[in-house]
Amino acid sequence: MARIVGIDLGTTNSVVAAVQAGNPVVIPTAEGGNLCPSIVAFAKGGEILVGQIAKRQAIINPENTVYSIKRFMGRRYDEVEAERQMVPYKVVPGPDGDARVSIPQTGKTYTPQEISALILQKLKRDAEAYLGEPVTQAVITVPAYFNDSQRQATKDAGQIAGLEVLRIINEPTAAALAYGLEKKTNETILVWDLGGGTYDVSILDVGEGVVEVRATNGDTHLGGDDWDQRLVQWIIEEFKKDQGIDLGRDRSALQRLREAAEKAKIELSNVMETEINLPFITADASGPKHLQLKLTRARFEQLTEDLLQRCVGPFERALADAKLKHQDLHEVILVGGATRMPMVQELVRRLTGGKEPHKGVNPDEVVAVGAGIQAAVLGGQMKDVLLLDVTPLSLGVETLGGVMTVLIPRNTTIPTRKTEIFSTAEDNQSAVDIKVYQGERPIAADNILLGQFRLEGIASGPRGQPQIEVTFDIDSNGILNVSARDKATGKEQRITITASTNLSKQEVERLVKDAERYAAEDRRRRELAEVRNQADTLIYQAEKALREMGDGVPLADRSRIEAQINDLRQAMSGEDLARIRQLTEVLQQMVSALAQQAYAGQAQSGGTPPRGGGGDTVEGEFREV
Amino acid sequence: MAQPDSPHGDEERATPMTLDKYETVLAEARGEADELRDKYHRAVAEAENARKWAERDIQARATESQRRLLRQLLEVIDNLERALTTPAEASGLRQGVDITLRQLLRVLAQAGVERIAVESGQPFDPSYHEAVAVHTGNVPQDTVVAVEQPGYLHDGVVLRPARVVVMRRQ
Repeated sequence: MARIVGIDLGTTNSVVAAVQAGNPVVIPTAEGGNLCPSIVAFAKGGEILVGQIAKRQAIINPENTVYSIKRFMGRRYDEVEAERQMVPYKVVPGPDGDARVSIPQTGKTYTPQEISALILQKLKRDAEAYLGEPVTQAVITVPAYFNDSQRQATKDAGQIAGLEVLRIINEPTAAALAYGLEKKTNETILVWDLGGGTYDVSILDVGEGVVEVRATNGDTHLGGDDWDQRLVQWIIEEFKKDQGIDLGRDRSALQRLREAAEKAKIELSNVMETEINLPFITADASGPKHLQLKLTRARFEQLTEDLLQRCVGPFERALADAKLKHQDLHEVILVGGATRMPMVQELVRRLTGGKEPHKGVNPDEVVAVGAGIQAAVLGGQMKDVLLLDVTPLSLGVETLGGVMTVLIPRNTTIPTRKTEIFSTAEDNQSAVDIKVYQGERPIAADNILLGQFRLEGIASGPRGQPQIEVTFDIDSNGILNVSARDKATGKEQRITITASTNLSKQEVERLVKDAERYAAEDRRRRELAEVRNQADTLIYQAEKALREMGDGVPLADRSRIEAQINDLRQAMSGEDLARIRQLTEVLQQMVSALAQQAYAGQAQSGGTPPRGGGGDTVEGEFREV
Repeated sequence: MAQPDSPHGDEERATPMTLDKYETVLAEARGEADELRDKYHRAVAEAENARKWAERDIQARATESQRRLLRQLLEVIDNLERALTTPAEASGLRQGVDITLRQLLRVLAQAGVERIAVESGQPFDPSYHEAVAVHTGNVPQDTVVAVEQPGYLHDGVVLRPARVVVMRRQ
């Protein structure tokens, strides 16, 4: 079956996404990268270039290179006078007064639909190459303010490109879909979309799976590029003050400045201060000149304060049009690369009364992802997808030293099953207690005890020899079955825990946060438990070796080892990690020496050497093997 | 549960299971089993596909993050080259910078990075070149007249196009 894709056909860039194995993925372009510049060029050789490659030749072929075509989609020629002035290609009126593009290279005029179709064709080609199957249907997004004529034009563009457009959806709606917010009942959502060159703010009403745009506003000429431009100006001025040279007139320097400015902007989203280093930026009679500037986030925010303020008006107008107050907004979604800037996030938080916005890793891809999800729903791909639950917290058993040994880590998709083999901690131990815990702390007692049972009648044997198979099985209803079976006797015990997943979301969050908060202390306690377990194993081996070798051990050696064991036992009851480690090491050497002696004497006595090491096994009241 | 005084519940007697009925139930059960088997097979296949996708995805991400680093290193190379093109008499320092640059290029070559060969007089090709300035002249086709910043390939894929000045056909 052919796959249906979701397409964010943007003013500056376009993005394609599809649902793969139940998860939405953004499809990279043939040139690499997830964004395809929405640029089409008619090259002199007659070929049509789209995307990155069209962009690279733009300046030598400006009259045949079309960008921002979205601004002309479904518009009348007389509506777009301002836009016409801003592009280097020629826009002419069509027979019905519609805006068209005249391309000298081919001597033809093209409708914006045809130009957009060329972009869509490339996206379709790249998607087919990536997915390995034909793509014939799509969901395409448009701004919420697009009128019928603009929507129809977008649909037609798809058709020309050989794509059946199953649905045209609004960009903010797609963003809400990407965060799964369409399932909410009676909520009001703010979508704040600040892209490279456009700013849209929309207010959505969600209820019963229907998303409605309640109000929309924006600024079609405000975006991240303006922030870059402001930074470029600042760098030029600083350099002029410092060196008396105007870099604004040096084309080659300007190119480097633009890149450095964008990079600095991006860096300042993560750090409080950055450095702009452009060595050999220019030269004068005295020699080469280097540009070296420090820029703090505070200074950057100060430089661009007015741009940020321009975002406020449209937000307030949209709110007023929706007849709402900021308190009425339930959710906030950030879309567009420029919303990565902390100042934008701060502003949104402030304007919405401190609401924490939804923001993904890639705000530039959110709209395409939402369109991809809608495509999968329409294609029936989502129908059969079971909504699978995950375990909110890790599940495990307590092992020697009170350690939490996890069998099923948190966020594992259920149903799931996991089996591990454990053993006894004492010689001839006839029963083990299985204590089932839930939680993220490494010491079992800090977690929630879900249940416990005892497996009795274990075949007698030295510690570590019996094999006890413990199985955790969570069915699709979240019911946990824990069973323990002695492999030698086949004796089995089990427990069913029905309450393993019904913690509230807040409770789960608190438990996870606790685990983070106590991480350092917990690590130390766990380490202590492990070191004690190692020491315990070693003492066991040493005593066993002494017993088995009997008189074969010289008296002096025996008392030395016994004294060492005593010291170690004492240290184990304390908390001095380093001391336990050090004493363990010394005892280890003594045991090794003893083992060598035993080997040497083996020919005559026929005795077996004691097993050395054992530091890599985790021990339990029953232990892991 | 049936009441103790009527051991063969009335309802059961009212609708006795005929052979026909059993066959219908059996057919239904078989149909359901087939459907579930099919779903199960699909689920297993889906899991297998998801694993393959994840593998490919991880590979792609690793390559992309390597390329991001390589692109940043290219800027360091650019600056070393700029240092060497500034007019200065031959000195020990200059020679050292030159050797360092070559060392860096060798390291990158081992990682699969190669420079895009561009010479002036060559036709402009936007697959590998990015035009940053343009002159108009008497040339049969758009021609590269100068390389402003060299371009690089990584395993044959453009890591960064060569920035060139182009003479445009009149």
